[in-house]
Amino acid sequence: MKNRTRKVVGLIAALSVVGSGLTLANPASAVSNLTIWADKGTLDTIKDRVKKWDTENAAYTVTIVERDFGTVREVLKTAVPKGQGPDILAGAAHDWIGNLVAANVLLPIDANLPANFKDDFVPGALQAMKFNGKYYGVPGWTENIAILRNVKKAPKPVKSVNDIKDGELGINYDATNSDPYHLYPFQTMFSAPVFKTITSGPNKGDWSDTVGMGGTNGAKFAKWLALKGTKFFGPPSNAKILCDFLNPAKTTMVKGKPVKTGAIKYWVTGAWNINSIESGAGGCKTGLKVGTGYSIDPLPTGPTGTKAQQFLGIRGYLMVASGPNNTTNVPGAVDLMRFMSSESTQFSLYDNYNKTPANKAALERAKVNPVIKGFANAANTVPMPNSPAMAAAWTIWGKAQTRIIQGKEKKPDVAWATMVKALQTAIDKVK
Amino acid sequence: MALFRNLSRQGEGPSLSGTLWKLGALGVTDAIAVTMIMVLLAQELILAAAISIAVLLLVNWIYLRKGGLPAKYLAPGVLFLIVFQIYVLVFSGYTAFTNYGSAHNGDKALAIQTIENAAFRTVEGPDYTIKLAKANDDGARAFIMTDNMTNEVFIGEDGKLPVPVAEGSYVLSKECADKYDEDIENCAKAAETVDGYSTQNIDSLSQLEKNKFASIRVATDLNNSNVGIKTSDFTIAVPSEATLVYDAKLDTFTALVDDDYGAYMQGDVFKPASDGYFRLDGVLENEKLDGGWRVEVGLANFETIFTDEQLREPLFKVITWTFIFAILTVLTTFILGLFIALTFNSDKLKGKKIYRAVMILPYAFPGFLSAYVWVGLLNRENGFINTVILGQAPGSEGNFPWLLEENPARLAVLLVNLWLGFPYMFLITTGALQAIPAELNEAAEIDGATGWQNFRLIKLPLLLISIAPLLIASFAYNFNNFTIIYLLTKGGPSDSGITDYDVGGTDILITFVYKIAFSGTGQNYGLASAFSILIFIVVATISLISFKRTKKFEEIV
Repeated sequence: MKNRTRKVVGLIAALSVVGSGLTLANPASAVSNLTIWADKGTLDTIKDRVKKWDTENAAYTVTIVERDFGTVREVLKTAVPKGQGPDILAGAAHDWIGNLVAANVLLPIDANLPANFKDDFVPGALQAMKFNGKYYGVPGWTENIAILRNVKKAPKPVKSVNDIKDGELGINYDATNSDPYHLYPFQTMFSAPVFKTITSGPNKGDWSDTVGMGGTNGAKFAKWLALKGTKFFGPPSNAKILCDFLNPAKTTMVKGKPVKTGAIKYWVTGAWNINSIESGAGGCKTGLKVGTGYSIDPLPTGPTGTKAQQFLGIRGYLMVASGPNNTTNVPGAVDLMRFMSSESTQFSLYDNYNKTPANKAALERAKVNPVIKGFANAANTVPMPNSPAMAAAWTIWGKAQTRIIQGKEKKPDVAWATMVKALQTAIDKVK
Repeated sequence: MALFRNLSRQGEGPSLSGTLWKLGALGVTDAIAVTMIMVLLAQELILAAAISIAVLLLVNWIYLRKGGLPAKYLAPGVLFLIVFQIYVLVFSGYTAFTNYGSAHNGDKALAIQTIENAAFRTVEGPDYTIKLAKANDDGARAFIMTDNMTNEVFIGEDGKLPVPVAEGSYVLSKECADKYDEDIENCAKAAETVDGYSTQNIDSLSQLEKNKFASIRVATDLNNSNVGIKTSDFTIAVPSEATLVYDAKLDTFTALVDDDYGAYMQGDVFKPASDGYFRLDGVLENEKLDGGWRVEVGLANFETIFTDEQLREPLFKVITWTFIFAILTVLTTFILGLFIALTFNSDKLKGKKIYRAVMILPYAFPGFLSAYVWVGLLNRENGFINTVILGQAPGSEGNFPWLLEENPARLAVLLVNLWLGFPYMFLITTGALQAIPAELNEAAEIDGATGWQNFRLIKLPLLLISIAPLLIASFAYNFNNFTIIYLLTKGGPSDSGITDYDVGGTDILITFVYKIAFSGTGQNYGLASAFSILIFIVVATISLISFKRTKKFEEIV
């Protein structure tokens, strides 16, 4: 074969392959594609309902893409500027909102919500989706902690924190990452809310950007934490709370010393641990049942009788800005989000996956379940703050708490004030 | 070169099947490249598309032309080098001089879009369930609006007040106004059609048409054109007020109202400031609008590294520990490796091969796997080390807190790294020892040197000639040994006082940089890149100095 002929054959071969590439890259566009990003747990939870919406709405095809819960925010922040973001971020924790708004990745949906939409949800749930006066999503399900009580060890609900003796309380906090979330009820017993609330104007009642846990109340709390210490809160990373809570109290000899096990009467935790309790997981044989074995109580009051508050955590559906000048999918996405926040969907998510509905009507129907009812009745909640600085806040705030509990700060009130100052600096930096 | 020439001279030229293979491979490459170029063009990434076309043409020219054999061998390697090494290096170098990060992660157009998207606020007033419609006479676009509270029906056109529609002139929908109200019997219904208008089916509207409907603002007050009833999802319309307006010519945002949060007052003008935000009058210290973009900030990131008070203490601590970690790791692994190599080098030892194979095992396992295994072994309450080797009670909280407190965690990191690192030192010193001539050993013995003198004055200097560069490489590697730190402790325990930087007791520079870039308070790629450049300078300087000093050893010979 002559060289020229070879080249011609080559070109034809190359072009034919190119041609097949061309047909692949030219999809028909009669239906709009909606994309949802969700973590594994959320994906399993919502997929049936999303499919239902998909079949009812012929104009859209919905795809759910699985993303890792821990890193989805970073991925989103890089994808959106390139126009590669999804339309909806599902299962998002509401305290992400401020951080994501500051990164230009969310779209407000106020103009798509009817005025009476708020009335559909439990107090605080929709408010939690609000940042700087605008709604960026709709609530999916709620999470809050309560105090669980082993009724065999403590027949009556505990009224005041003063009545809990050292070693009787189980609480999760971690030496590395710590846990201001679980410790927050104790902090509110001293009227030291994490942020100050806005007192006037249209956004009255929302969190402000000013740290509210400083001052004398904060100092009192810090001193109390140090006073109670690890004797009361237990050592960090206490993985055996579950067993200890389930088992009858007894004293065993370890290396010739008496060690009291099964002393935990009360456990500060949320509905996510109920399955472990009832199945007696992790080698703890005594699986208890709600009502007969353990009960879900409201939080005790503080040393001076102040009512404790816990955080309301919302997992919801956030509206993602799909890149510059792209609003094609907004109507469909809003409709899907409203479908996911509707009574029937939220009841279905409760019914099949035990998610506590944020929708009021669905919650009422779900209250036949003693666990849902228990946590709902124990709720004296405030939405977790969603300021852009929350990610930093958890670390700084928790680190101080853990150090104080472990007795590493000789002057707990001074350490607390240092933490408040550092936190305010971090927030102002983001502001 | 001679080899290449010989290859191409075989016969009259490449065989037919060879040519077909080549063309096939080239065709596949071209097809992938063309698809990629089309995707790039569809996304209007013109520069990237142009570069891809140029590269595609170049590749085809290289492989279709006769001769130029070296280019044919080198082209793929060079291309991948450019994409995966040089581009990455240049990009992170550039990033160090920008404020790229969580709040500045896009271009200015995206920031403007974000601000515009949020430049409204809902105001008091009835909200409506709507249908899109066109007037039959003049084709004007309008909303058929049903008040959600009173169920009154209106026709709304752009810039005009809603006009009430008399009862009997409209037909109600059979479905609930609120699609998700399941009480079909009693729920409120919205008007579906109005006489004189034809209702439009949303799903069949073109995007252009939808945009025109979306731009309709039904007036609520003829004297104030900023307030109006708008829709963005074509099912609900609510009264809202524009808060900011963007002027594309002047590149400014002007406030139309006083902000609810006091961020601005009516008439305030926001101009682009040098930090990638729209700020009041463009002045740096002033209030800004949420929505930043990426800008070049010169040396600001380096300035932060050297001047930020919050950073000073943690950074000093991290740097100190990084040096301690890298130096101690090299020293301990080298000493242990050398000791074992010397022992095994003895002629009297039997079964050397088996011992050597066993010694190399830690090196043969993937490092990250070993790290995870060690995390389990070092568990405070139930780990093997505490319960079996140290004989502490299983499950006891008084056990040695290996990974939970700062100094124990540092010790643990060093021990695990010793375990992972000594086989490598053992291997290279064994090799180097065997290269030392046996005569030197004998000569030393005859001259009456003790074993220690023999080792210190003869073997060690000779060893160091060949091994010193490897020690330096090992130092540089461990200086940036992200894997071991991150997998063992994630840089924790977080026990280093209270600052707004997330820093733990075993954080070395590279894990600290990783945290700045990817976790916690919001990503700051710019600052992290600046750190990477500094780390590079430190490692490069130390390596350079050490390499020069190793020449000293060579002078001995």
